[in-house]
Amino acid sequence: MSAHAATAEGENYLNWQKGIWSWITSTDHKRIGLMYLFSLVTFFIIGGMAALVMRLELAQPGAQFLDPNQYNVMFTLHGAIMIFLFIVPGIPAVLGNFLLPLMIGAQDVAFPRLNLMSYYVYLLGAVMALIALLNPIDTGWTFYAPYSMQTATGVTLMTAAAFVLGFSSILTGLNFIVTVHKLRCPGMTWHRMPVFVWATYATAVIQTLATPVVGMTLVLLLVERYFGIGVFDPKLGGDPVLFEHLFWFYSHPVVYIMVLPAFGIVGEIIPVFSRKPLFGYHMVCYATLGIAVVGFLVWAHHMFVAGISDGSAMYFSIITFGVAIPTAIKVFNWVSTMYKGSISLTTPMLYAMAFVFLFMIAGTTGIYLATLAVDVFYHDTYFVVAHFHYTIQGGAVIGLIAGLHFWFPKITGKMYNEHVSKVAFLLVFVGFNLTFLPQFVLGMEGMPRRYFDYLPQFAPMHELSTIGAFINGFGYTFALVNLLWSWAFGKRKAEKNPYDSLSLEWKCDSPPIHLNFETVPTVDDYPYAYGTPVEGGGH
Amino acid sequence: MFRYLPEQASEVAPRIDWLHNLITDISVFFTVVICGAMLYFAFRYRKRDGVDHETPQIRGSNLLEVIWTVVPTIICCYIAYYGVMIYKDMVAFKKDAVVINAVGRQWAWDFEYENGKKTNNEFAVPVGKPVKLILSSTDVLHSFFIPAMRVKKDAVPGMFTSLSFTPVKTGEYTSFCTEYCGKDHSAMLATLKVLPEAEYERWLNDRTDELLAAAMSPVELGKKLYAEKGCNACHSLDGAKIIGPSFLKLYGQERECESGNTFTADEEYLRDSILNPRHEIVKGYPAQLMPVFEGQLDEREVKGLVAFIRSLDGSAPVVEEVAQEEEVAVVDPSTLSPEERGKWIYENKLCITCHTLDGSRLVGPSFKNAYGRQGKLADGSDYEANDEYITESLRNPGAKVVEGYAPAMPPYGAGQLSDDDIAGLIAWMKTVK
Amino acid sequence: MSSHAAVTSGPPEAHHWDPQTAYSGAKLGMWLFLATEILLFGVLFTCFALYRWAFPAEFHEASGHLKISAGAINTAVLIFSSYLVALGVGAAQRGDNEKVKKMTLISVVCGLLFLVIKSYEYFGKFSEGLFPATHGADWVLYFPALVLGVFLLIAAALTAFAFAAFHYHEYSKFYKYLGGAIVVMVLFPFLVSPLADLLSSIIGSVATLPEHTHYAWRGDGLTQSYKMYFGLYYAMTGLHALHVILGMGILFWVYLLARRNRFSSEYFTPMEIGGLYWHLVDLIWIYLFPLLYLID
Repeated sequence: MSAHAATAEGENYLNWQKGIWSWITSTDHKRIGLMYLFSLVTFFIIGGMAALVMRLELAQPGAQFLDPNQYNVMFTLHGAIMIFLFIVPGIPAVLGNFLLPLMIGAQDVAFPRLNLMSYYVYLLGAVMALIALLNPIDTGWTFYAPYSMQTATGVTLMTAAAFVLGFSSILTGLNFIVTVHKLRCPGMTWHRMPVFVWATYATAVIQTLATPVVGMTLVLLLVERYFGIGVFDPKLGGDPVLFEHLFWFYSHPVVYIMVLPAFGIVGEIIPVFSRKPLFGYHMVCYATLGIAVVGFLVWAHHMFVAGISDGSAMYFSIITFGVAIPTAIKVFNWVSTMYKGSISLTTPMLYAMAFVFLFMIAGTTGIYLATLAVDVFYHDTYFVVAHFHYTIQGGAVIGLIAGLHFWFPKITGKMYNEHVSKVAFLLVFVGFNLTFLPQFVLGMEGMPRRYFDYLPQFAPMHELSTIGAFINGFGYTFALVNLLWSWAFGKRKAEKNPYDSLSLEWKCDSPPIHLNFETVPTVDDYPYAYGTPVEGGGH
Repeated sequence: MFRYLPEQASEVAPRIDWLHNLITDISVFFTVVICGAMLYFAFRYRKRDGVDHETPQIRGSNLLEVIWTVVPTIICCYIAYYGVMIYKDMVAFKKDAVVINAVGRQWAWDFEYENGKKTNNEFAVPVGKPVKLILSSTDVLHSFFIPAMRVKKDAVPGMFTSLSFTPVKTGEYTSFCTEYCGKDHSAMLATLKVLPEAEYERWLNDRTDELLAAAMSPVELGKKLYAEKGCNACHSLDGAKIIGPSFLKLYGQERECESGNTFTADEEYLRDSILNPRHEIVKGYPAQLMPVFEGQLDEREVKGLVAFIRSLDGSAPVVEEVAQEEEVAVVDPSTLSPEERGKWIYENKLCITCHTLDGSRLVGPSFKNAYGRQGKLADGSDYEANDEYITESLRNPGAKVVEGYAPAMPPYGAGQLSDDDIAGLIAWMKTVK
Repeated sequence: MSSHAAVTSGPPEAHHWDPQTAYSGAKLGMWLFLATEILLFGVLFTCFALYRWAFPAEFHEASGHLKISAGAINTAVLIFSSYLVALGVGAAQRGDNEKVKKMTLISVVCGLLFLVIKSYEYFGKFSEGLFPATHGADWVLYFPALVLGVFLLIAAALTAFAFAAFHYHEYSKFYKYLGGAIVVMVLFPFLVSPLADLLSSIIGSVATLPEHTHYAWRGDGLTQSYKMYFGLYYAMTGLHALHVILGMGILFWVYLLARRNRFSSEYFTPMEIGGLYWHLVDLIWIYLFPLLYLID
């Protein structure tokens, strides 16, 4: 490696170059991660507002202040913005970008300029989506044909935006895969990488391989809308169910893009605040890869009643159970990590523990949906809505917030206010459960989803859910404001390694210097060797 | 938990609920155990006095990994197995099933029975017998969900899907559309009536609605279809633009279309616009939105709609819901002679819709030379059209149906035809030669 | 990073990895990208396979409209250019920049020839009334579309120049070329009409242009699945043609590098990964040609 001028005292990646030009042309993975963070939070807020509007309308039966078309637009926008603009880029774009090179002892990702281009492609897609809001679509985020071919709303611009966003995802995934393969520091074998790196790697594989399929499917949808070639239009000899197959071929793996990195974050937090190795590290890593692979094989469990053959339905049901088991294994391993540990109930640890509880609910409600006879009842009801909010919000979003708190000292060089963050945590936890537990009940009662209006018997649960939604929203606002405030005005400086963690990212300064490490680090053990060694190696 | 599930109105519902509750028990058990352990560890092993205590560097346990891989796998296999087996029963072929076609469209359901009876947004089935719905759609994806029966299937345009169930309780149940289909997706409810066998048969053979429709004038028929087929969702009658052009004063106007061609909204144009709306869209209106009615409306219905649109010339005040006025009989039939009375009844009580006077066959036998006619019944026995037979055929038409005719005639109870009325009818029928 | 004093023919100074890792990393990255392209086209191939299985008779009849000779010439052109690119890779590894220039430039010309033949095929289809749309299209859109294609090529070339300039930290040239590409794309809406008219009058002097649009889809006896065949045909060949343009841009950028004597036995990565991309473009055509033209 060529010699660099030694970094001056107090100089870090935030202050070594100043001015907006240095940020928007920066190929530094840490700065790019932060730029993603601000974009993502913006869209989280917009998507969240759409949700609150929906919940206000749904608080009582009958029309409150929206008409059916406006409501349909609201739930479509909530889904499309939250999924394509927030949670799919999600943890990989923010924490993956920031931490991946740090955790493997590298100076940057494999293709830093490509990384910057990924961000600009994301921004282009985001701008297109914002313009699409001028004629907002009402097809649902799933764009099912033939309705999406017929509706007069701005399907063209929104699907084009999703296509562009897909490119950003593909390029990021590609970048991360090459980074993990080629840029690990000396001594960092695959089995000495932190689980967050394994998770990001598995996610990157899914991003790279699954996204092109949905990209092409959306292009076909546009071509169908304008040229009427007939691939999805039954009046032209086409098959609407084909669209569903192509769409879900990506959209099932995408949920693993959302949640696998969150699994990785939980796997980082629990050992640190239990002062114990991550229990069953190897199994956790293999389970992660297993979920990524099997996740490609189960897509039609979203289509059990769509008109697929009974044989196909049975196959997809059985194999969906195959993806539940590795997840269960991980949960057992996380909890076992805490056994005989020395537990600190810091904010990240609280979020990680909440994750375990929320994901137990998410995973077990998934069992109902995987079970063929039961899914016939639950498909397209509120039960599904509650299930996927537990996985995506209770899983991925909680993971992201946990990670933002955990690595806050590293990213900003400051500490946040622990008391405020714990209050925010409580609001988020209570609000989230109050929003979505009643929705399981609604599903049991048989209430379908995407309904503007409903029969009066469903009203009580809807009222509870609306109250919960506002508490939830308030909790997130509280948490984010606390982090922003602490960064901007906080006085407590963070040490290099405030939690005495063993992984590499804590070996560099808080915040890190521009090139991450002064000298190339080496490792000789995995980053979870906490505690006193036991006889027999502890197996 | 399970008390939130709807009542178990189908044969398979108890089994599905059993599996559902089994999953609930297992899920609650594991969630409580795991989260309980987590909370217990968090408490028992908490940091005391701000100082970490010594922890053992346990890296894992191969034995535990095996146990907690194998045990969940076995549990999942068990659940998956029953999920598949119960599903197989749900979709199994049942020979004596009542088969009903259900077609979804934006935003209503049309049902058609094997005997030709058509209903809209409500349908009936006999209790205790297997029912099979053959589903399809005329426009976008819909889905038919009956919570009480625990069944659901998507209605896909361009193909047929089916769902089966066996109702075990009489009652009224709601069905929902469970595949997002546009503006009024949440309003697309239908009612399922599960009736005792005999009542179901009567309901099935009661075609008065259709007979009434058959007797309507074209404009009345058009007005009825305007609401029934959902035109009212997009086309107003008062000049306001909803989504498509208003029908008020539409007839005869010049329209310029996206293709650049100009048309006059005459019979031909309106007909084309109903049957094949994608063909020429008027400038300024969204393309691809209006459902295509080719194959869904017969000739008479299309003519009715066109006549109705034509009638909206602004001369008569347009009220969407016009109460069906009771036919005020100018003539009081009781003042007529028996033969005249019979003829009046024939013309005003709908007999004319199914029975001709010239010997040609409609739905029922012609009245020409009917009195005294002899022949065979559907069950093979003989009949003679005497006073007794005609009276019975009016009061209880399903009892003795002539061979080769459908049991489609509605009954005329004492409230509809008095004994004197029937006497008049018989007297008149004797004169029909 | 300060700008380079002189351009060497050794590996670039990548501040965070050594040349060998950089080379193998770039190759891994390009293979991954090729995988995504295959998945992209895979969707179209799947749709084609499904509908061919569903409507064999119509697809058989519709495919009769394709000129096998044009397809065969195109196949030969692409295979030939792939061969040249392979030679170019060998040349780059030896540091023979002159040969690299020749190979890449001729390959770009081959790509252009491919596009010209494709365009001639499309022109023929449109005059037969076989449009990509099943409702409402005018064959005279052909000329504006051609003009758009030319503009895209120019924009791609300018972008290639821009990228090469950025690569060498020659920022003034970078802004010039990037600006040029943007200007080209911005000017397009204003220039398309006059240029299309010019083009149609030129072609009109050598060929008979149809007077009005003959739209085969209004004809009798043509089923929906027949139209679907052509829809898929245009989607697949159109997407492929887009990738040919992209590939031409990449090879042209490699040509520009060779002009600066960039390649040596120590550094030949761009030629190799550019060559990989071009081979993929060729490979996809080798799947398309039998599928569309040859299979009955």
